[in-house]
Amino acid sequence: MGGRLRVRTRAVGGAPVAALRVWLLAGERHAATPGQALLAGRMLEEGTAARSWRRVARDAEERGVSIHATAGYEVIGLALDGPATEAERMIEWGAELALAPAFDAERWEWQRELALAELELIRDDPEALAGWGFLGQLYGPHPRSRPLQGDPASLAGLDVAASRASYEQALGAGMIVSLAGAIDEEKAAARLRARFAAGARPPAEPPAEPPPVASGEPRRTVALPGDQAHLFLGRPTVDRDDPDLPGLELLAVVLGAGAGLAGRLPARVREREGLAYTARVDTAAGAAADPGRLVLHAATDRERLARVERAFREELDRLVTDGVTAAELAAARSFLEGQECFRRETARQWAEIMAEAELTGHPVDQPGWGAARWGPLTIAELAAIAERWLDPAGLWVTVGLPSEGTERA
Amino acid sequence: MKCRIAPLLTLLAALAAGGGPAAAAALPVEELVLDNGMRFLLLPRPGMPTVEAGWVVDAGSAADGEGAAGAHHLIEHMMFKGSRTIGAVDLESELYVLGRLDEVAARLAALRPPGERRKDDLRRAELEAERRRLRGRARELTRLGAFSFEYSRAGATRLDANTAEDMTLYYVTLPAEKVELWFWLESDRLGAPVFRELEPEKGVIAEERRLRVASTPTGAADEAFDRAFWRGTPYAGSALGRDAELAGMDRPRLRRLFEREYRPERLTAVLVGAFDPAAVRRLAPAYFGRLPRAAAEDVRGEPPVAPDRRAEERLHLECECAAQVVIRYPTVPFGHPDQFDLQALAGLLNGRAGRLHRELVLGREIAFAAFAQQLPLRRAGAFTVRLEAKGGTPLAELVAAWDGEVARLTAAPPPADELRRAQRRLATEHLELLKDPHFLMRRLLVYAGLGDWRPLARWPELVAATAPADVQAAAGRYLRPERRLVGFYEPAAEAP
Repeated sequence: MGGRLRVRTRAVGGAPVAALRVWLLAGERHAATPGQALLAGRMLEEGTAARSWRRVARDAEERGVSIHATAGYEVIGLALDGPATEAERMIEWGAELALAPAFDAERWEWQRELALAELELIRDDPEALAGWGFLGQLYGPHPRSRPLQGDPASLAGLDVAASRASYEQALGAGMIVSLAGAIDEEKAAARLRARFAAGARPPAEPPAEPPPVASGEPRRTVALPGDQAHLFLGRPTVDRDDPDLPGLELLAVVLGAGAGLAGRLPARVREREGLAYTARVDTAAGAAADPGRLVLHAATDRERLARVERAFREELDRLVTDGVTAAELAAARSFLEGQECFRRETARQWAEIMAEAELTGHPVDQPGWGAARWGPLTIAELAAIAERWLDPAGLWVTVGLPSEGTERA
Repeated sequence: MKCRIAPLLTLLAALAAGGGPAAAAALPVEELVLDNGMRFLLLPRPGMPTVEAGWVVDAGSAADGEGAAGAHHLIEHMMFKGSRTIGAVDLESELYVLGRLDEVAARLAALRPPGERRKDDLRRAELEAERRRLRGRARELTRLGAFSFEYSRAGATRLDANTAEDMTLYYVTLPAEKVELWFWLESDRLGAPVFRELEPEKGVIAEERRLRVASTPTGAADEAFDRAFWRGTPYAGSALGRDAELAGMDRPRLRRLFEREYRPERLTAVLVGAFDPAAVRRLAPAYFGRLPRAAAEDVRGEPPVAPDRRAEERLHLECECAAQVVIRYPTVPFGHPDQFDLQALAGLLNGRAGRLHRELVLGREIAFAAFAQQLPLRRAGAFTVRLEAKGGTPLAELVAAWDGEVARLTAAPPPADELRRAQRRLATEHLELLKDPHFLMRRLLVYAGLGDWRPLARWPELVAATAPADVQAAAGRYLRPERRLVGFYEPAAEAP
């Protein structure tokens, strides 16, 4: 896959707009230093060899185009959205920004300061702080355990030269480019290939795999700002290629990942017992190249924490012991199938879902794909999946408690 | 002289309309008014697979009234508890039990405070036991979560509601073929809601308050700042309410408030997406036409209010945040012609190329972030500037720097080029929102709740009509130091 350019285009009706996505297959998952991929990614909107960042911003404003560059765990991503009349220009700009970023030292320093400020924001946000405590507990040394920004020490160890070098390597790791909107598919594809292939680098060595997921101590307490406690329970579950994933998606809806307050956990924790404003659940949150996780979360008064935890555990136990009813399975299936149409409404969504299909190797962009995965699953199969992954006896717990002046985690 | 950026605006209007340049005139919204006064705004988009649906009642926290802060927000929560149809197992028995619960609550409220009279304390214990028994019985007679479940199994998503100062919004996104379900469920809960599980819901709201106010970096400080700024106006209360006030709210009182406010002539529904307008014109009267028009007089058209600010006021507030300063000036309510000049002024200040970023963040390097906003409410308005200090910059230095910017704004009109760029950016941002059908639906609801949806379609044009001299005039008229409130947000001292 190294160095390979993959191009997807799609004509989308409706508003005369276009959406371009450029994904480099080199995210934080493979970063040698935490925060490196994010900083490198963000530099894609900070000017090029030909145009300063101010010029880039002004040109975009003049043409009604928005530019956003960032990175995730698996990719560095550049997004351009604008009127369809600017699609040609967006291709040119996309290639210029992705293939010839300036890595200006002053702007790089600004991005580093921004990343540090974002880490400070996490420290001020009780839910985020407890959530990262939980992820650290669950994933151990794996990059999924830490924010994309890394940490202050890792950011301090980076410099613009290393960032630029890491981006040069990223260019050789492979690239996905997708364009959707009011466009001519074939012409646009040809243009994308011509423009982006020009910047192709030799295939890079496959990056080292990240350390494996290794969950830590089963129970952890984190001191938080504010005066509300946060409870996270869960465990690592499956990655996106695992055959149990569709079943876990159905079980998530039964537990409470559906619309509004539907589902067993919101009904119990919020509607019946009034213990929390939110009672969130997912069974394979963040499932990607690495395992996702079962996560149950509630924010509540510290006096109510024990009741919430008991309710969570009892509902999981009820699911594992008694399984789901036919009506629950039908409703969960119906919910997920109904959701599918929401993923393909706009040019922006099409650009992203096409890129995702290329990245994952799964036809996520095909409307019938989801239904084909959920449709055949039976109550007995869901019971087996629940037993494998949702047993309340094997959970990791993070309790975030208001610190009341004590030192924070 | 008025600026013109017509070519971009034509394109933007076309984008918002979801059609080609020929359809560019405006948002092609069809209006429908039922016999009972309920209004519908219909924006068909045949290519979409979904329908965005919502309704707004033009009553929000500003109408809570003295000692009842949080009442409208509590009603919003109770509207998810089902109806006489949805969630009912044995309705007759349930209504009897709920009536008994209300009687017990009234008797409890009439007792002297705990510890004052032994007889009352004994009675309280008896009544509490009775209340627990009745609650358990009521729970057996209902299906909790039934309202959400009906939507969930239809594949609906983004089911939610918000209580704002002037309105309460309810909305959901549905697969296109389920639009009739929305008509049924929404007209059903408006026509015959049952306010179940009231007491547990107060606990939920206490947690919501803890989440949104007490546990956010600036939540408590922002609330204190708002209360001080809007003192003496209906906007001074807390939308979420406080435990003590919520504790005193019983079902009959909420029910009376609901019946007074949630009347069809105060409701506007919005549909955006793949629906057949002819079918909707048939469904709307069939379902929502069942809501009776109330005999009570219309309370729309309340006069504008303005906080009584005659001298600069300074507040020192503790937060769990980076040091920052918030400066707010009274301005104009929704619909006032100066609103667009003030929004253009905010546009001039914001963004990566805006004056605040250029001068305070990049130039003098005294701020880490800077943002300005004109907020129009139905009866008032405010212009707010928030400046986050960089490093150890004293907050007074930020205020002085802002004063310097105001002096520049009032001394001379901004260069036409600079204003035009800001207007283009505002138009692009507006378009970004309207491209998303969900946000378009919600913006239509908000504008309808404020009193008129039509400026939404013309917003870029209205902002673009502001000339440099208009910006200068607005700055001079509204950014007056003697009328402002300045909040100094500083991190709470670390414990030793």
